[in-house]
Amino acid sequence: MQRTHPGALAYVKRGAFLSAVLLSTFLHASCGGESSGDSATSATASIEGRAQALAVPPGWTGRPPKYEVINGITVPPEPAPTLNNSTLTGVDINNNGVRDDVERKIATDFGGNQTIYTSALIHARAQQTLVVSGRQPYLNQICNSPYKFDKKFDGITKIQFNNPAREQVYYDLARQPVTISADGGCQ
Amino acid sequence: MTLLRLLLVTFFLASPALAHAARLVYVNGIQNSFEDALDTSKRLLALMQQSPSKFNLDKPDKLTFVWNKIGFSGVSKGEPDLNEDLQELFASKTNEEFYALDFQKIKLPHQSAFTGDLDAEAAVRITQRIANELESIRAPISVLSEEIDKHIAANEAVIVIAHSQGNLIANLGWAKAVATHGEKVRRQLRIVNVANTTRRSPNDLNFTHAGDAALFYRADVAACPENSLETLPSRKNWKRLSPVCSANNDGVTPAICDFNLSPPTFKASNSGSGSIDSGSVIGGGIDACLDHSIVLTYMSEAVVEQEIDQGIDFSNSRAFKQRLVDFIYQGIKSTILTPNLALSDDFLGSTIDSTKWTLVGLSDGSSPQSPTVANSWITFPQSSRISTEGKLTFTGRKIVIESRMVGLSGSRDTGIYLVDTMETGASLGNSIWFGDTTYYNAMYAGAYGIYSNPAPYILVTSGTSTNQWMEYRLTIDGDRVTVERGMTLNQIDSSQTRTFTLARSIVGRSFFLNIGTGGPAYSPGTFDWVRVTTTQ
Repeated sequence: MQRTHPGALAYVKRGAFLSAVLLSTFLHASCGGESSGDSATSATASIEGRAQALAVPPGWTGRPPKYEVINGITVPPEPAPTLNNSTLTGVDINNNGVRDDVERKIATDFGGNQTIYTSALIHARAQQTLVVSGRQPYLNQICNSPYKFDKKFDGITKIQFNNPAREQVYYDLARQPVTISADGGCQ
Repeated sequence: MTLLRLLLVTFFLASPALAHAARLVYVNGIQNSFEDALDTSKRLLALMQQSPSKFNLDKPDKLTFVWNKIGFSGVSKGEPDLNEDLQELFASKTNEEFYALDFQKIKLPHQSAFTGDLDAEAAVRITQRIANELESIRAPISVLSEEIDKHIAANEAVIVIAHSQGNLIANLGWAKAVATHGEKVRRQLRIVNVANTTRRSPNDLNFTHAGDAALFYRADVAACPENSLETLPSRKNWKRLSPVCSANNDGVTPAICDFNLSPPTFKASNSGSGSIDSGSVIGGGIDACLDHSIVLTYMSEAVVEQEIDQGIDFSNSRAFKQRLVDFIYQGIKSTILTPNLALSDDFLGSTIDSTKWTLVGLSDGSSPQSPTVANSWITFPQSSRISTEGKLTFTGRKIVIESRMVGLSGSRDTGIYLVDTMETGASLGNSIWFGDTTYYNAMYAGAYGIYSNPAPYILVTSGTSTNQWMEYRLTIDGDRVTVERGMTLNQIDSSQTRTFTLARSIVGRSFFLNIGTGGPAYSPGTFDWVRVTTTQ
């Protein structure tokens, strides 16, 4: 049975508008406009990441991106690596808090097991929160949810923090200890 | 009055320790993502919450973890970061060989945490060796030390639970704490070494089983590739030069030598030292081969037996996870000074209790006069003293002597001596003492012999001599002495409290008690009760 993520519906409703924006941007780029895909990675680029998701990356063929179904789960298209890796936050075209390439990886690796899949999404969404909002919001998400860690999630982490700038965000988690309370809170 | 005192004594004995919660701190081993370490920490805290408390202690309600990153970056990438972790281990184990002898000098077994020696200079030397660790190890040592410092400053006890590589970090955290906080670690810090990668367990709380193939070469199973830390150098052909490793022991040429580890302390219940899996289902994946994971193995239901007795007070369950809980509570318990009521006498009946006392008289050679025991008092005439020598001896880091006593005549010297067992009979040459006398017209306290500096004795006095019943307390904590008195011990007159420092600590010495009156002109003297508590 096909499952649809909450974010996917919003995308479909925006579809016509997005197509127009993408086409317009493509034409602008073709006429000598500067590509945003090569902008330097920055720790302050989190907002730009989403904005760029609506832009046409270099080499775009002109067709609007299409959702795919992997293991029965509707997922966004694979973002162009250059664009996706040009900011800390990357591309999250359906705005569901999980980077699109990570979302596809989760569907591929865990789509066949609803329980693990759910925890994998929490894992990825929390890690994206770490990138976007910082340490405590990340801890709030991962400690106050039905999250069950699985060693296999290391594969998600590897993709989530797939370049030095992103890796640094994860690395910085080690700078402070974390205190867990019996009531489940973390800080 | 006597009944009330008995009730108080009963309460005292029934309460071996105040409710005492400790902060747990976890440090993970290699190849643990942040989420993995967090998950283990949550499981550890849940295990403590779900298990019955022990020793009348509060259950820990918080656990802090220090994340020891995967490799150099924290992100698992497979082979490259595993190699980085192995490089860290190699560097740390090599470094350990340079401070191993010094580490032996800062070992503080949990059973003798308040009496064992701590060499602060050795701790400083070890701390200086932290600079030789890789940056990826120095960082968690620093975070752990800050966490320990924070809780020690808040007067809280900290139990560090280290797993695998985390032990190399935690042991250096111990050394740093000893160097920074000295004596405070006795009652504020313990390390539980789970799957111990080090050569030492600072508090004899080593929780390691013989079938751990990530540690011990002999635990390898044919179906799995060799993984032991012991044989890491030969497996990788990594050479080193250290105090215990050089070619032909020339002290100059690097060589390949296997590592030394602490011996395992547990074994599978149904096999000598083979796989812990025998008869127990533990985990899956790589841990089915290694039996090394803290969650899948050391917090499992597998039944294990002790291979080395470390003085742990175990629960009935022999499951690994309960044994771990027992270790943690043992660590907490050992941070608490537990007083022991070593002597209590209300002088009931009509004669001295000969299981406790012997009549000794004075050291002036005069014939000792027998005291009178009546109405739950003991009254000493002139030249009369009794001693516990050969019957009761007192040792400890802290000794407290309490008594209700009085000299009712106009000339009195009613007092108590804690006498070093190097003395015999009526001799009081090396002793610590207190009482009330008209000779000084005061409450007095002091010391003779090896406890006195300057020679021949220390003397402090306070208030004026009184023929009123008073309750006295002499507290000796290491080398610090406090003497105080009041109508009752709950009504101490702080203006009469006096303190002084002995020439040496009482730790490691043993004593007997001697009570009675002074010279012929300074009697009689009467005691209602006397008691001695010692704390190791």
